[in-house]
Amino acid sequence: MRQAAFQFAAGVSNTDLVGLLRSFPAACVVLLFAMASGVTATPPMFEDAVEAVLAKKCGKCHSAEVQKGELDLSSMSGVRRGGESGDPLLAESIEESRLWSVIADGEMPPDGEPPLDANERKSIHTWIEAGGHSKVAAESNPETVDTHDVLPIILLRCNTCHGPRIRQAGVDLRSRATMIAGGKNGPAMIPGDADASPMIRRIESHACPPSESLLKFFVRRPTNAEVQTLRQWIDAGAPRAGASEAADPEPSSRAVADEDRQHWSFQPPVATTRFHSIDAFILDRLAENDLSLAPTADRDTLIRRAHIDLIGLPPSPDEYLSWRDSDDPNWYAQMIDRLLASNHYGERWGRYWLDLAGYADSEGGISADPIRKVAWKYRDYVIRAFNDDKPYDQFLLEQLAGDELVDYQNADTITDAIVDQLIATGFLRMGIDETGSRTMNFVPERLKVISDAITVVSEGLMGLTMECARCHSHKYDPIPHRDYYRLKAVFQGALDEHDWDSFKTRTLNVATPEHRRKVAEKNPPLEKQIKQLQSRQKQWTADLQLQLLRDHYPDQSEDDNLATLNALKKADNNRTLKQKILVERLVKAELLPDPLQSKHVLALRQQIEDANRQIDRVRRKMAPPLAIRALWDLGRPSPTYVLRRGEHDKPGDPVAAGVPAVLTDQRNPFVVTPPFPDGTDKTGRRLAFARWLTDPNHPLTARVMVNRIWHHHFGTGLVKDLENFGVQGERPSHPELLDWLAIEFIQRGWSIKEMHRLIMNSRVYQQSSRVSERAHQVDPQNRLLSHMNLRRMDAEALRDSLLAIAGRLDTTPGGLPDTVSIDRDGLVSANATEGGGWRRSVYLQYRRTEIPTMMDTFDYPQMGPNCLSRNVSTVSPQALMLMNNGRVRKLAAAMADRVETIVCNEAGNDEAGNDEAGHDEARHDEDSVDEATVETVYQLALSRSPSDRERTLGTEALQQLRSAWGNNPAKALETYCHTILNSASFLYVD
Amino acid sequence: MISRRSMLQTASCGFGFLSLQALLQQSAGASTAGTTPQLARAKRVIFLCMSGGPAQMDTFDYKPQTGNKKHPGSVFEFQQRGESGLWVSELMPETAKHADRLCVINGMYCDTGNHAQSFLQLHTGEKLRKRPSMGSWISYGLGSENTDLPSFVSLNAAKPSVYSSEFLPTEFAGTPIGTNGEDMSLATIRDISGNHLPAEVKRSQLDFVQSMNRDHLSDRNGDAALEGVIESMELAFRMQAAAPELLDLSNETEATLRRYRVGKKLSVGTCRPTDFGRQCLLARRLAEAGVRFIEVNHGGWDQHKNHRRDLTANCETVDAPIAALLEDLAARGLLDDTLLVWGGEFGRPGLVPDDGKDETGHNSKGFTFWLAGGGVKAGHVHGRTSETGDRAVEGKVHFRDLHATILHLMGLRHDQLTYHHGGRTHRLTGPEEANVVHELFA
Repeated sequence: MRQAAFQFAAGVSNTDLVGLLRSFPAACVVLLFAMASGVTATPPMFEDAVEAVLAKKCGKCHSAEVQKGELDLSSMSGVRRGGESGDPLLAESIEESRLWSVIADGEMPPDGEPPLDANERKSIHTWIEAGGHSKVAAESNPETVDTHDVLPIILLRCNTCHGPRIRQAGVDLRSRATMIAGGKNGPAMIPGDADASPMIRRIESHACPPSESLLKFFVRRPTNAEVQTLRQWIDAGAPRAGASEAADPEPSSRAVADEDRQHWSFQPPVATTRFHSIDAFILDRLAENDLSLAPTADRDTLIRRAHIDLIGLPPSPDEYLSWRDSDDPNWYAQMIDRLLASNHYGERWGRYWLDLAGYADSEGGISADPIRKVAWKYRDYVIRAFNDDKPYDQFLLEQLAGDELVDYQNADTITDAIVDQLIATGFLRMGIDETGSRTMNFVPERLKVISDAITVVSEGLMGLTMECARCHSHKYDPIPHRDYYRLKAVFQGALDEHDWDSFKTRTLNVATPEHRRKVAEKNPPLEKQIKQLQSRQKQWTADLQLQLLRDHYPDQSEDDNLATLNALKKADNNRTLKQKILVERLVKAELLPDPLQSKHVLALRQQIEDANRQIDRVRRKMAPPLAIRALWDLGRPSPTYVLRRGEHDKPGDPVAAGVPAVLTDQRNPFVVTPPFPDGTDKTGRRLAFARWLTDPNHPLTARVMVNRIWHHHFGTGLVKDLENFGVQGERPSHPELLDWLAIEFIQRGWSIKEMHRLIMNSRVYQQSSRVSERAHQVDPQNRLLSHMNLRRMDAEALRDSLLAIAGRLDTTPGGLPDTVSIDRDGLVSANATEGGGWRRSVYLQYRRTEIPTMMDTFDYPQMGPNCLSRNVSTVSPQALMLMNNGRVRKLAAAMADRVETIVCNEAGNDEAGNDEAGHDEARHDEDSVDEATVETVYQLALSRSPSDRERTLGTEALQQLRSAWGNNPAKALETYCHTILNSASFLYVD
Repeated sequence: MISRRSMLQTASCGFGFLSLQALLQQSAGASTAGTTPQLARAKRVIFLCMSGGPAQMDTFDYKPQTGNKKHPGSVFEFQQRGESGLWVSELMPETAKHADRLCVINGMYCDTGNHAQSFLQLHTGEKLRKRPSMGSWISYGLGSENTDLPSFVSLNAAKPSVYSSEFLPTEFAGTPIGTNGEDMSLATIRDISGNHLPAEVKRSQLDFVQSMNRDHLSDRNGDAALEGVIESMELAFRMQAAAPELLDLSNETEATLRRYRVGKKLSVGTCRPTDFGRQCLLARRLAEAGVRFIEVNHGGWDQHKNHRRDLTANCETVDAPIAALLEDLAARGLLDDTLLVWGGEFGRPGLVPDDGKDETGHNSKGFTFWLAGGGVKAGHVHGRTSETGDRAVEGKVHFRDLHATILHLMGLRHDQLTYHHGGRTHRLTGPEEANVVHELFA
């Protein structure tokens, strides 16, 4: 109905024949063909020619009972109505018939279903070509327009000035009643009389929306067709919509067949009594294939594996030695517990979650890539949650609906817990967001932001790909088009494209009294300091620019020099030609390499750089700002409409908030109730969603998470595609194990740390990575886990390990991200902290356009909008970086210093210990120093001792390097350390 | 080239001798990928990728007005060029001089008007999931023509997903030189120069690492990832020697630099200042050096508003450099076995002349690509769009057909260039049937 009504409106504005035909697809086609060919022979009829074929070959998905794509091909009226896209199935020519094109293109019937044979295709073709006749005459459907045809137009075009935020002239156009009530100048709409309705007059005279407000409020004028719809509606007396329509879940249920619900991952996990440990499940499948587990890895390997896995850092030499030499039979389990208790654990595992959320320190989307000043609070929240082993269900509740858990607007005191819950909702605000720009805050851009949030939630938390359903029903998974918009409605209370906050206004200043006091006490003098530094810096920058111009263009007049500085204050597309030329000259001068710059220029640059550092340092002394990047329900959602083909101005039916129909059953209903009936207005939709998602009966939530944990321990998931548990995804390698783990996870209170214990204490996890010949033959991908997978360290583990080994890791946790610098070659590197070290990679600033080069090179992902499993590439730029990068070389040098110190100390200790034994016994010749050096290098870098062969190779290498470096032992050792850090033994975790 | 053996023998200081045995083993080389050899017409591809969707009706697909009512069509002047009489718009005066070398496909179509998806499909055959890039498939199928450079280079590369080898062995991944939008005059292969060690020490350092790596590998039954590490390190080492010289344009004559418009950086609307001339000149040098697949990117063809102004700037940016590239390849006899491919992820609907509008959108139903060299017909037009250019109506070529055709020209059969991964067999052209467009072949 709604679709047809819109087409009608489009049609009448377009008076040519084609336009009319499009508006009455089926009926007019009949007419056209009757006129054009003056048919005398009876054309084939639907009932005789195609009904049976369509029922047989298409009826499984497009019948009266099952209506995928909301299409029913069992009757002529269904054919005439068409599907969700609103495209007419029949058309004036066979080429334009959608029904024919999906058949001709082989799109339908889909793969795996019986195809149409030649005769069947022919009869369909002939029938459509002859005009698609039927014995049943097209119902003369009186096209009615109701409020749901009109509201989407109002929302899109009028809502900003006559909606929730602003009521120009006191007019609120959001409902029929308020339109009639109007404002200070009387009613806005007079039912039955469009011509007399002020809203129509104002729209048609372009008084509304006012020209000067179009860009300010990001609205565009209604199209002629839209105005016609408004007129038609008003002239018809402004009929109200049918009452139950919005809440009708039926079309979704019909679009999902019972067979669809049978897919394994849409059924709750099944408890099994067959086995009770990971090892038993794995061994069972191995035995079936005549394979067995590899031997347990040696102790050194386990120490390194567990450390890198859980905390992303190698053990310190002392830690390494204490575990290596422990004679406690329980040492391994103790080590796991110790690591899980380390605060570095959250820095490692929180980072995986940040990938899933799509964490970034900038908004992205536009070239300026504005910084997200307090995104780091969410980062710290995540790290804290992992360190505290916050139960996963609670973790999700907070991130999805933290604002609906406690009525913070009516709270007596703001507690840390309340603040944390609000910070947690930053989860839904991580996507790319260009809506803060001056030109990109229209509804389509806002919809993109919403769609990113939906992607993060559906793929990250449910392993469901819903993106396709934004434009049409999912081709493979039973996700109807409508379901996407039902899920979108869940977020409508907070992410409302018609009631939008840009990133500039969407922070909450909710803080504990203590925090407020600290800010008031500490910050004002520091802020003053920063202001002073900034103003000085500004002056230096101007000085620098002038100096550059004077140095390189001595002939340029001082007036032009000053004009250049003024031109810089303008946006580049607003500059005059002359200004552009002037700026270009300056840029050219700026880009000249250092040797071509005067001392004065270099000095000024240094001053500016130093001031940057100082500002950063002062900033770190300040109490954190009160602002929270939160998402909160406004309690006044606009209605949600299906958007046909995903287009913002092609609204279809209104939908209520809901969850994918294929996942609903009686055991876990989705029930929305406003959370604070006596307090602040909130829709409670996200809270309902979060409760539904974390219900123990949810078939996906626990499975998806345990699979993710498994993936990070083994390098591959039991389900390989972490983001796709749908029909297209690969089946789990061990379905029973996956279910068992999911149930264990829930029973153990959704404790992630418990899952680590369970997994890491298994024999399967402790296997060696050696591959047997048979395993290599039978199961080359190691899906059966007959040995441990070798895994390359990810970018963070790699960089953090380098820093730790070099003794340059600053372990200060949390707070403002560490800034980066970009050198003239475009290399982005982290700035050192005050102590001269570097913090862990998770604490770097991740501006989308300035990803630190080392991270980028080792597959730090582009968050678009997020990343569920990182690529592991092995490409030459990585090798080049490890071989040639200056920073890596400096770290190798630092490591060499450290090795030397350790070796000297040991030698000193030995000497002291050996004093009594006599000097003859003491061998401090070069060989033994070299051996001790090699030993220390291996322990530091690889957490193991060298093999005999490696020891020999190492000492020989050291000797040769010394002679190559002209007896410079420091350089020789540095090169040796650098060499070891280039090896696969370092890069990979066994 | 100096062999590894002689390198080891001459190395003044080597810890390489310790693993001579290991080093003499042949490294795991490019696979033949199980393709039936067939006649290769081209040895390498230069893909001039115009991202954003070039407006075909104002460049190569002439759509004059027909009938009485104004309809979408060309709004710039067109002329017939060369002996072939190929229509080329006034926006491409230099390229037009090479009209007799072009093989224009006017009946291109694809699945979606969504930039990201279509761009991915153009590069990988698949619009939703990450798959190996065309350059990776071709490198995988044919290996490298040189040992010192990657077989697949992407200049001014867009996002990694379009030059990634994904599940194909990583040695076939594209190496980016300059990432999206970066100033190409500064772009290089990162960390390519390492003068901190004498060359011979570097070599022995590498040999030592590689011997460690091979020991590591020997315990692990040919672990592909470790083999990849070894390969990538070798290639990186050789690149250090070969690449800086290749990227250094100082030995090109002033006239050449001018012809390619090196250093010209127009910044108008959607047209970003990326020094396309330098990219084209680098492409020629990389082609000469035997790089198998070179992608040259120019973004900014998504000129929605200001269609006329921004399209003019985009054309002005690419026109002369492309002409210079065609000229040089022809002069050096390289055009015979180098296939040039020009196009973007889709096209655009035309403007209606004189209706006052200057805004266009996306059109995936009909647009233009052109090929040149590499065994295709010259001065030829294939396929046709409707009178309003809104869709391809004759000689329709889908991306997968284009892929099949490019592979065919390279001597590869698209239905046999396959890779087994994740439980099924993949190919560039995807599961659907793809057709080699034989009509394009000379």
